[in-house]
Amino acid sequence: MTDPDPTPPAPVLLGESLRYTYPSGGRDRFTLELDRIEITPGQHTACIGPSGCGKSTLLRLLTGIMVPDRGTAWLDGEAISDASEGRRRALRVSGVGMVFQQFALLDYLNAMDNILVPYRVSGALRLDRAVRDRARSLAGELGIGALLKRKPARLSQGERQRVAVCRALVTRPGLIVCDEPTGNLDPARSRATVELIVREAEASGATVLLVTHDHGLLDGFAQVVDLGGGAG
Amino acid sequence: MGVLHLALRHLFYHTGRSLILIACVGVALALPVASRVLVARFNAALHERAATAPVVVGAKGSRFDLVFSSLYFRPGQAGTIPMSVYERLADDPELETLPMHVRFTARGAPVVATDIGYLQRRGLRVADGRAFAAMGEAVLGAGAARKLKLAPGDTLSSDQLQAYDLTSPASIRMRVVGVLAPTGTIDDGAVFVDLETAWLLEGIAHGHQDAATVERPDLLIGKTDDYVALSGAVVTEQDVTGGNARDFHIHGDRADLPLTAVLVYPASEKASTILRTAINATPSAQAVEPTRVIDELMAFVVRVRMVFDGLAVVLGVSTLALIGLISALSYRVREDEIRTLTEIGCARWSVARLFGYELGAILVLGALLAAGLAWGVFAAVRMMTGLV
Repeated sequence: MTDPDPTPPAPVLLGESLRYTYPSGGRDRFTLELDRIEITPGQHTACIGPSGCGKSTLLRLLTGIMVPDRGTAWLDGEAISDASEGRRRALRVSGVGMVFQQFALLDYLNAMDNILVPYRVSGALRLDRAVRDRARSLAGELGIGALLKRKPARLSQGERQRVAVCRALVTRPGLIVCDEPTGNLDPARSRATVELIVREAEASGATVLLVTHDHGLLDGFAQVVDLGGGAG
Repeated sequence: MGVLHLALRHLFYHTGRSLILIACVGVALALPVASRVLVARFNAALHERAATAPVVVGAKGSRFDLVFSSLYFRPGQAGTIPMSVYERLADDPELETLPMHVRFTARGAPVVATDIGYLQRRGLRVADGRAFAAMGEAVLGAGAARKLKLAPGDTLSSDQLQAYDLTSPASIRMRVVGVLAPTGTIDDGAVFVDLETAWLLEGIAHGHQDAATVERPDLLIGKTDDYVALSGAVVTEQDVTGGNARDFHIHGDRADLPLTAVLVYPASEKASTILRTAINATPSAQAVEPTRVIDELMAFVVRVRMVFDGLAVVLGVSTLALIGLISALSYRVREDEIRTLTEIGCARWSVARLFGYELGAILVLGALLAAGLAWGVFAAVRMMTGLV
């Protein structure tokens, strides 16, 4: 007797029959259409395509920042596209860590405060000593433990990148979403950034969804979705 | 608390911009607050003092000068009336009267010449030493004693009205014999003397060597059995001491000696009306009710304040417009930050709170600055005028 096949893990992210049209733009207005995208736990996924093909839009639809005109997006088994704005925000802040293009750190906060921003802006998260300790620990692991009192203007590009990664990981999300985090970096630094994100995500048990237009960064991603062509 | 933390961090980070906005709010609020507080305090202080003297009699002329001279001790503003007016009023059993002479100063403090009844009427108690009893003796208000650093036993010289006029009365050195207990009124800043000392300061009374003992013929211009004319070269005394007190004397009829005012306390409204009617019918004197004079003055002051209020409204509107403009520009500049916060999970309401807290902090700090500025203006005016 052999055991029946184990039930496949429920997807972290699932998008079905997604369609979104930008409300302005006249005859040239942009429409994104995608039949299906599914990301299972631990399945790091890269989304590629030329500029303007809808990569960032897809990312926003899957994480509830935007709501599709048609279709459904699921986050951790919950239909985030059908949820209220407050619920979508709560799901995002607790379940999704985000790394933005150029890292989007707040210039008036020091590195520590930047890492703790999710706790400052959301009532769903409670900022306590344990969280601060975790932030310090993460910063220490990424080599910026001594720089936590510095403002972004006094950090190098690499140090800012690490602060952004710490901010994405500090809430212990199940999913790390990266929106072109290597946009303005040279190839070597881009590769190092993506490797850092993937490594830290794996260390914390998170899944990575990366949006990029750089085909040279796709090594190590189990799934690649090409919005300019087809899924791979 | 989290959004407030971000708001405060943003304000601290943009220190220069925050300070400018706080200063704008502070100045815009301080102007109307200071003018209103000052006018209210002036009004209260002036009325409180005015109510202590139902009627003031003085020379015809400015009623404001008369009231401010006799009640608020602004020296040198009022004309004079002869002692005969005071004596006539003092003879009326329906009137209580206090003679006043306020024309001189001593090291900046007003010299208030009156009789001992003034101290009793005002409830002024001698805290150290004794009351004035003779020409040349002075009792200081508590504030004047503190400001001039004087105590019983010290001397105090009067200020000369015309420093370069050799014919004007010379400065007279007075002996401090007492200091009054503080009362928190205008009286605290005054130097109280008897009327003869005032006339001494006027040059009407003076002291010099006894004419009978003058031996130098060049100093004796003429002499009969009842008349002696001395040369101006006879040295006059400038210091009333126990030894030379007998040398001081007054020339002329006492009824003609000058007073700047008479404070009158009529026994009834009827007596007050009769007094004012009678005095105001004379060609050279007037009787005024200080509370009405102050009402008249404050009505003018309130009109001036309304102009300031109008300016304050213009300033306030322009400040609000400035803050609105800066907030709008700030919102535009911070669009990326707002998008980041929103995508992380910040509610639009929290973004509004972020801006609201920043604006609120600026307004609160501006209001505190306004309170400080208003207090500073108030303190400066109090120091300069002593009226509030």
